[in-house]
Amino acid sequence: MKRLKILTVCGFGVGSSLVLKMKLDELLKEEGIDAHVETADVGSASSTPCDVIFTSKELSEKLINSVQVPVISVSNFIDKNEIKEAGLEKLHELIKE
Amino acid sequence: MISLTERQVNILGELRDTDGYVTVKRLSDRFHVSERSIRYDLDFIKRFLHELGVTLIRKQGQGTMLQMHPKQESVISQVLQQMNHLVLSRENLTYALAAQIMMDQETTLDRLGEIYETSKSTIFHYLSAVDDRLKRHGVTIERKRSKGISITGNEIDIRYAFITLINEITENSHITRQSFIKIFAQEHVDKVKAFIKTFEIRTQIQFSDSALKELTLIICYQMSRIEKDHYVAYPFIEVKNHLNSFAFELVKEQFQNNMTHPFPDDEVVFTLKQFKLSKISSVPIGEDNFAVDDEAYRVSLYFAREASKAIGINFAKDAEFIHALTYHLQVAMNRMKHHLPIKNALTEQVKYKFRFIYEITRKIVIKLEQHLNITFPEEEIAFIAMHLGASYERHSATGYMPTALIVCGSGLATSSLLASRLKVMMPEIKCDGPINLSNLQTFDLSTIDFIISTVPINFSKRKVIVVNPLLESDDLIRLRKLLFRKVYQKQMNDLLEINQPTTTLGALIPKDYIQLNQQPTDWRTAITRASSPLLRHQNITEKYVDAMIKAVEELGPYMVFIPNVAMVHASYKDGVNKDGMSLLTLKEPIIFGDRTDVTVKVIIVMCATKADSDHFIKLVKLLDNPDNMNTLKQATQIDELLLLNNRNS
Repeated sequence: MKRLKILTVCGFGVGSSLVLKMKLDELLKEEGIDAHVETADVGSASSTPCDVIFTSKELSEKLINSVQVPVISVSNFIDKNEIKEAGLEKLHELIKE
Repeated sequence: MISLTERQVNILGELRDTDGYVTVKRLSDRFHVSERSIRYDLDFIKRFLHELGVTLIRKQGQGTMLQMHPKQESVISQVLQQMNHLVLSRENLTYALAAQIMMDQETTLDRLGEIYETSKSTIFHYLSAVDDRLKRHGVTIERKRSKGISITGNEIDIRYAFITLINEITENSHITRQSFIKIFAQEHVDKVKAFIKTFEIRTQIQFSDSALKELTLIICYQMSRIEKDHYVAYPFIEVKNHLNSFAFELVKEQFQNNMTHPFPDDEVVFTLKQFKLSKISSVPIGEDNFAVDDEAYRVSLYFAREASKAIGINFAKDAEFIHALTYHLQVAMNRMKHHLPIKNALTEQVKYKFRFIYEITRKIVIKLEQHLNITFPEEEIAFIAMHLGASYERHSATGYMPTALIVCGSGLATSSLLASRLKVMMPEIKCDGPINLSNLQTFDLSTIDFIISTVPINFSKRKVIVVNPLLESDDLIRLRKLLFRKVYQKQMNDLLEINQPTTTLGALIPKDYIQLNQQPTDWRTAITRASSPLLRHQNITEKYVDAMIKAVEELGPYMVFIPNVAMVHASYKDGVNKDGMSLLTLKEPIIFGDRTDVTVKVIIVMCATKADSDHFIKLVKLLDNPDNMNTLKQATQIDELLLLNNRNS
């Protein structure tokens, strides 16, 4: 099983990406998934190597064409259930690869 | 292992310390018992040694000899050390002699030598050490040619010296309080015990076992002092305080019925004080009727209030807690005032296992010490922490039951047997399932704390306990352990969470950074208006406001990552002077951004000089609570918001 590297992205890499990282870390712990979560701003996201990106709907539309990895969009960053529904399946898939 | 009697231990010691053979005759003389008893003892010792792999050689006409390797010798020495009650160290002999002299009141070197099986000169040698020890308690040893050895001093000092000595001895050796009680005449002891029993029944309290023994000793001693015409004397004012109280009359009546010697009021007061110093194991059930000015009651309430501030549970409402703590403190505070030791065998465990509770208690105690002018020893802090911990558990454990998922490799019969057994034998576990092994991977584990399986499985997401479907006692023990750990962990986590310093909204966003019920025409005006307090306080420059608007224009309403709340910000390079946040709520929701239908009702502007803003995360945690969010959206007064925090759920 490989260790995933997850990137959370927001406009400036200071605010919402941090919140998303916080919630993702909680979710990963609950699910027993071993992964590393980093934050980035929208400009540097495409040049940061990672396995999957979590971000907002608007930013995902911008990112999806510039990166090779799956982009998962979340609208409410503090709703863990939404994050789970949007991303958990993908995370399990990536682990198996 | 066979356990030896005191005499057998001593015989073994004698054998160890003698080179060559020891005859039965010599042992019989030495221990003042028949040769037949010695032979019986030797049979016993032989069996005992056999277990340790040591041979006891017994030869007709020569006697008995211990044969062993040096390695075995150290084992024997250790065993003797553990079992030996009678071999006294120098320190202990000093204590024992001091206690003996106090009990005898008048004694001689000969008598002391006889009791401790040692020579007069040895006793004499120890006397100055004994004198030193007693002087610490205000008691002096007097030696007169005709009268032998006696004690002098203030009678109250002598009484307390006696009990302190016995406490010290019992703490530092294997000698029990019971062995001292045996020294008093049986008739006396019976009377005193009956007297204490009556007191317990009439006042509806129950002393703890060790307190009972201590009380028996001190009252027996009181009797024997009175018989020799040594009386205590208290200032009249102190006696007056007790006169006519129920307990006073009760004790007085009891003594008048049972004692031949006169029993002045001062002695009744002395006895009453002893009762008040004794630890109670059970207290009257029912209504609390502590006097409002009862010091212990007031201290208990103080504890409850302070602990509530720290933990957030209203302890003052827990009648059981206040009740038990008050009774405990009535005794403990008296003891502390008299500098009597407080023993708590669990101190270390409490400090370790109830670390948070202990720390909270310690902090309250420090405040309290200044008011009361008493020093609380660690043991006492641990006691209070235990009361507090018990109350905490009553509040937090209710409702929490760990959930186990039952996984079964074999057929339905086994799994349903396991499920029903679990239900009966461990009702404190909630069970889910049973499910088949193949369904495990897809099972929703969000409510599952651990897995109980009948077959070993390789699964990393939850702890797996493999049990026999019949649930053998060994399985139950393992489950109980895990259960205890889970419940304990949960409580500690709750406590940790509570212990995190509270952040109020007011602390994150000061009052003059908050504007409510605004009605800007569009999202651009809204951002500008929301930023105005930050501009006014020079946290940011105009450049930052423009950068934020530009970010929304370019990137869309991504800053609305909590529904209806825009967390607006730009890069710290765009004109941030110092960290800050401002808040604006809107009377009516407005659309946030161009080419979108996302609406907001709350705008938070944040500016930070470095990338990770602690305040921002704290604010998000605070908003991650539906109640807080509703209050925020509907607030009409700023004061309603200032006290919002991440704990008021």
